[in-house]
Amino acid sequence: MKNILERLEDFPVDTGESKEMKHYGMVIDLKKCLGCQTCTVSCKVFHGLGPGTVRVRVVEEEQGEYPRVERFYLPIRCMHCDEPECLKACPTGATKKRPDGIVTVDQDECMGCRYCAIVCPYQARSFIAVERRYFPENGNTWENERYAEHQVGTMDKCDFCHERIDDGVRRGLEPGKDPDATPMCVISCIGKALYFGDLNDPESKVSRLIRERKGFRLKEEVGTRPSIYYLSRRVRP
Amino acid sequence: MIRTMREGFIFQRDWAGRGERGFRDQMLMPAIFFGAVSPGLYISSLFTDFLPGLWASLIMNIAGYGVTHLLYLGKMERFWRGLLNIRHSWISRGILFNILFTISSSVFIILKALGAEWGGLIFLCKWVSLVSALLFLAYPGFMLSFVKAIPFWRSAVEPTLFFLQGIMGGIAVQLLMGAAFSLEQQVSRMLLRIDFLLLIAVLVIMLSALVIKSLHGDAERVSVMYLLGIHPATKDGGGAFFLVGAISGGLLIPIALLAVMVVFSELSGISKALVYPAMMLQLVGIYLAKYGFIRAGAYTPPAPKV
Repeated sequence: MKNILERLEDFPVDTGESKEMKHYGMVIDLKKCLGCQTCTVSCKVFHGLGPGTVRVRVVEEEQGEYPRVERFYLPIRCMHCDEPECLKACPTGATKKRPDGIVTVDQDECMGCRYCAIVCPYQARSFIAVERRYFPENGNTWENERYAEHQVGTMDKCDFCHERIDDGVRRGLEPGKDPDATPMCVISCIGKALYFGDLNDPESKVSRLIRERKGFRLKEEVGTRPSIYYLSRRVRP
Repeated sequence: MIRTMREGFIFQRDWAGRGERGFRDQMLMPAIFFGAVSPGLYISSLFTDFLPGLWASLIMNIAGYGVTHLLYLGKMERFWRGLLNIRHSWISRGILFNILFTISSSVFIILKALGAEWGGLIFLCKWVSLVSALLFLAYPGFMLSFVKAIPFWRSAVEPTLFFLQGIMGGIAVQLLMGAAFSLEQQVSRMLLRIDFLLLIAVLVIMLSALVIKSLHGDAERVSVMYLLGIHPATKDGGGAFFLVGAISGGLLIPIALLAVMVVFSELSGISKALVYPAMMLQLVGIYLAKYGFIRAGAYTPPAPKV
């Protein structure tokens, strides 16, 4: 049971970020995304997500009119927003924003009202309605352990594989550079379309890509300031 | 197999959708319905001093709203945690209003039924219950209108409609209860007149909201098309239940029936016979209108023009 001081630490106050403070984010290069769904599958395998629970989805989009029609793939997941609507909406405080910008859900605190799923402009959350497994009778040790980590009746979302990041940082690794400290979807992407790193560091790969290729964010008009940037398929002026 | 998804405007289905948990996923709409009718009935019964109505509102609140809402939650044993973010979350505020309403109305009704002469406590409970009932009535509307992701809900219409529908529902239940419990003719006439005005107000607000929203943006237009039954997603019966059930059955027919009774101020046997179907239709209409508004909430497509 947490005491009141520990509980207060669960609700970090936004003090304005300095350059020394990490703010993890992701860059997705739409020019390189093949729509192969490897990110989706690697995430599901690593986290032991059952059927119906998806943290990363790849949307197939078509735009334009004949004869100028374009098709492209758009990976969507939790955007780890700076101003997360889910954080404000969550009645229990189960949704938390860490000082490094990662938004998490504590399944021990979630009551499963699904208001966070409603308010998310990116539909990045899944409700674990019933216990389901892909191979219920033949699960290996890994699957059995990972499946057991998810509670039925609670919400699930991408957490940037924060346990990998935390473990890697403890071992002196750098998230985004060292695979052991980087989210699974990034290291498994066969098109090298995903980049991860510190958005507060102007020299990080992600910051340089955003600067040089004029990265943009989805649904800016909602005002949530996502931490995931996209790079256009075209070179922007 | 993982399907590649193609997304345009998506209708939310986390609420009022077909879930995997069977009846538990269907429990939100009854909770929202009784969460409106129960405080509405309480307020109308309080003003007309109708004790059976006060008892009925308490039962509706506990069984109709409380139990169904708990069943809807994924982890009902943690419902108390819902009070931990009152500063920001409308769900937390709603739970607080409901707890205040339940406690104060229960104490007030029990003291009133016992004829206790604790003037100060009765006075306090009466006013706390009245204020909390008003807040409890309006909170689902605010809960929707603060969802930035769904443009159709982003307006002052939702709290207003939820509030008026709650009062309307309460009056309808009270008039229906008049069949079993004695309700003075004068009170019935007054309630009918208020109900008639509320029906017209709700019809005007709802229709003007649909017109304004349809002109406002693409996502709102898609939501209005869903309600009117002219969107491909309405193959699940979207248009029928709203146009036929909520507008025609729930508003137009009751308005026509009540108009007869309002014009002929004396409540004859025939007009009394019209009251009950009108009130039943009105209640069904309130349910379907709320159901329609919630199911019509559409997200804008995620992809920008790149």
